[in-house]
Amino acid sequence: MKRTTRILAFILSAFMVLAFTGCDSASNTSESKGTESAASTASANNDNSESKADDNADTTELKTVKVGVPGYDSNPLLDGGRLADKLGYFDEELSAAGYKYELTTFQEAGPAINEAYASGQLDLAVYGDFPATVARSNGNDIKVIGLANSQMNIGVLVQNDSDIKTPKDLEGKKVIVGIGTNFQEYWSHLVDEFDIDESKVDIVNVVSDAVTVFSTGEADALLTLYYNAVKLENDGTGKILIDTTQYPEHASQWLITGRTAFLEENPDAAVAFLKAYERAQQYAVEHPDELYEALSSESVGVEVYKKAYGYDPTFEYLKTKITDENIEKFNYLNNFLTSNQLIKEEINLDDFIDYSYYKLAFGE
Amino acid sequence: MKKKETVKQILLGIIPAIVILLFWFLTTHFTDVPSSILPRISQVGNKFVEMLQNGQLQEDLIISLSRVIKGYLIAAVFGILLGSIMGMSKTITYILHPTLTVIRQIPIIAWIPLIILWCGIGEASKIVVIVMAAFFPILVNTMSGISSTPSGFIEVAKLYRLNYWKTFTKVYLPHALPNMLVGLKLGLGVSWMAVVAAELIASLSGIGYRMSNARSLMNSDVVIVCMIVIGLVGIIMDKLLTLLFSVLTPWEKANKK
Amino acid sequence: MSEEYSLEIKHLNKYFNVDGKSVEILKDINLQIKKGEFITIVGHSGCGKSTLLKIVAGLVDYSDGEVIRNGKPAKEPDVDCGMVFQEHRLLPWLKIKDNVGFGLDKSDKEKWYKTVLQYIELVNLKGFENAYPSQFSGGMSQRAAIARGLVANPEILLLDEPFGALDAMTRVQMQKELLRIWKEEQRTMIMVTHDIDEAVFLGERIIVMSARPGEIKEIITTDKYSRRNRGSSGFAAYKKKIYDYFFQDSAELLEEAEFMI
Repeated sequence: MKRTTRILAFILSAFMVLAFTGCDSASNTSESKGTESAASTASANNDNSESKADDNADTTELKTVKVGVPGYDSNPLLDGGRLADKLGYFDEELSAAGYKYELTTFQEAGPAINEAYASGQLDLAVYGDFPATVARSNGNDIKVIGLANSQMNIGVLVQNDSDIKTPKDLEGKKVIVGIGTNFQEYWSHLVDEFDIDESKVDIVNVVSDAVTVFSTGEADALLTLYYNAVKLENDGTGKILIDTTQYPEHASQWLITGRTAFLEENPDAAVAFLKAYERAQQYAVEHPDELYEALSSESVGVEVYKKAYGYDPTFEYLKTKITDENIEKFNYLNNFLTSNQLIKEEINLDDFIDYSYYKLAFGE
Repeated sequence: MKKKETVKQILLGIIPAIVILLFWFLTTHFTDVPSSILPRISQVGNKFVEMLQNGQLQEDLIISLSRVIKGYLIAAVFGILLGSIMGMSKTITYILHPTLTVIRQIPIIAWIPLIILWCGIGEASKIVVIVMAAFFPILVNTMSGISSTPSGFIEVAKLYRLNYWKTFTKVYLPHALPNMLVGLKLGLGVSWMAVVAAELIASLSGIGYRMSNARSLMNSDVVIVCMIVIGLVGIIMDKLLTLLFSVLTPWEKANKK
Repeated sequence: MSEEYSLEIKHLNKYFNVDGKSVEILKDINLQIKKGEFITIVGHSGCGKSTLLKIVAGLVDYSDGEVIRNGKPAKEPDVDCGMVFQEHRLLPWLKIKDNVGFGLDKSDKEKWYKTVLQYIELVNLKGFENAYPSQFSGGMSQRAAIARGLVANPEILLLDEPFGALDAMTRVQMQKELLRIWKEEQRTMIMVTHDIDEAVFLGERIIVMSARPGEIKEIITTDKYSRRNRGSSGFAAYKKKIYDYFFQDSAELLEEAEFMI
């Protein structure tokens, strides 16, 4: 009697352990979103792509495209993709081509996406040029097929009571720069542009807790994404010293990338993805408020995005085409990473950037 | 006789390491696991030599080691002190135990913003992270050792009119030593885990920082070198601790026989 | 408060608070023990005999009455009274010599060591002073405990069922040892036991106690010959007398229990 009770107890506890550990897989992903929310807003559309969706309503036939993006829970950094998602463009374009998409948000941003790419867990990813280049240089066979945002703006936030008037005044101060991120590249731009003596600046290396460190007054300045800087300024946490809307060549780029093997086997998916982005860009020009609305979340409101994204009402920067100007930025980044020994040697941009899918999609 | 036993012990202990190395070798040579996540053993070996030669490894190790030791010692002092007090006084245990248990469950990462607020971004905050991690196993095990002192021994102390302090040093403390050792060993292991978390706060040096930085740059070989170094240093410190305690508790050897 | 008495107990009462109710453990205990006597106290478990011993030692306080130990009220432990418990309670982290010399004044190290060795020899543990208690058998440990109890040269040695945890053969051996030590050291020995054989063998006077509340039923004075000869009729007679009290006690307890049901 006693023996069987013990065995049962053991089985029960083992089962409980397995149930708990089996539930959650990747530790740094927050959610996977399917096509459910897109479908609910598809009814808002009245064009004939809707009937196409009905034809392919049999979802079991659709292949899944695993897309990764950095961000936090309800704030995936998809840029124009957020609008595309809300309007159901991803759903439409992809299902027309025989796909459905599965979005995963990575709290640990670039590095986590690179790891997911390396282990074949992602097909496409929309993220920064910095980590994408690092991935490529480490032998990850991924390609850039388009731009999600050619002006991923960055800003410098200083304390409200600060006497810092120009970036040069950052000498002798504590500046938060996330090492190993695009903020390190932006810092390099600032140093070059404003002739800052780096040895006189105390770089504080924080990534996840950057805002916390800044808000406790432990640092004098913070390098952060522009929309975040606008939010913090609105909240009264600090004031913006300078940002890349005034110096567009300093801004980072947000790339639409894909695993080469996946792209070669599924060109239609790549094309569909680009089309969705491009449609969203066109729609944004006509309905900018809907863009701001789509980008907003509980923590970052519409007014922030209105300022952060509305500085150029043509939304040229949200076009997916890769131009020569963009190549300049790629070159700068390549050089920066190599000379700072963040990658071993410069990557071959011809191998990295692939125009063919854009051509397939839009014929240029 | 004794030497043979030790040799046998060491050989048996190496078996899992050899299995892991074999597994590692086979995966990296015969499957397509990406080298940006799992590099070859040879690559790691080369990187190790490189890091030794340019002195970076030693520098990082010393910096992290000093943080670990500082945090660990502070945790040990407070853990043993509070553990002893709580072990001897039911009232104080009633007061402190519930709150401490709640705090203990909260992961260290969650505390980091508050730690930054109260301790800044310098050395202090990193050491506080380590203290918070190492404190609890030391506290709990010391408490257990002290409170489990047989009342019969306390009565003997009473019979011989030992004052409170003497009763503590001559009865409670020696009785609790084996338990304290367990707590101190656990605390040490946790300290090394904590130093990696600690060095995420505004660090530009230290082996934890090196590891995080290497990860974001997909330098998996550096990551693995750091992992191995931490593991080896950890086991050395563990053995030293055991040695220290065997000196402090000579009667335990007699017990084993 | 006569000089010839090591212990005088007058109208001792002891109450314990159990769940808010007052339970009488000892009732009107009266006792006079001369210097150098060997007294055994025998009775059921729970009749308060251990408590009585602890009161004499000064470890437990008492509710009413007087307890005068070696001419002074027994309010707290002191060097004039040593104690041996049922568990040897040797501190495992101390060597035997340090255990034996635990309560002894260590200001003169040489003198301390000499005294310690002397008592280690007394209990026939010579040569084992550097051993640890974990290496000792039960009998050896109790011998060390007795040495510890005697080392400070107390007038009285209290023993609370010291051989209860030992096997029968070792027990008999230890009883003989104790007798020998008593003869050599000539201290007052007060021993609590539930072993009737032991009580008769060792006790010059046997105090028979009842339970609930603990009272002295009778004090039996024994003759030396009968004590020393376990097979003698005198031995048997004393035993029977004590047994009768026990059965009476048991019968009373049974009655009480039936009444409650």
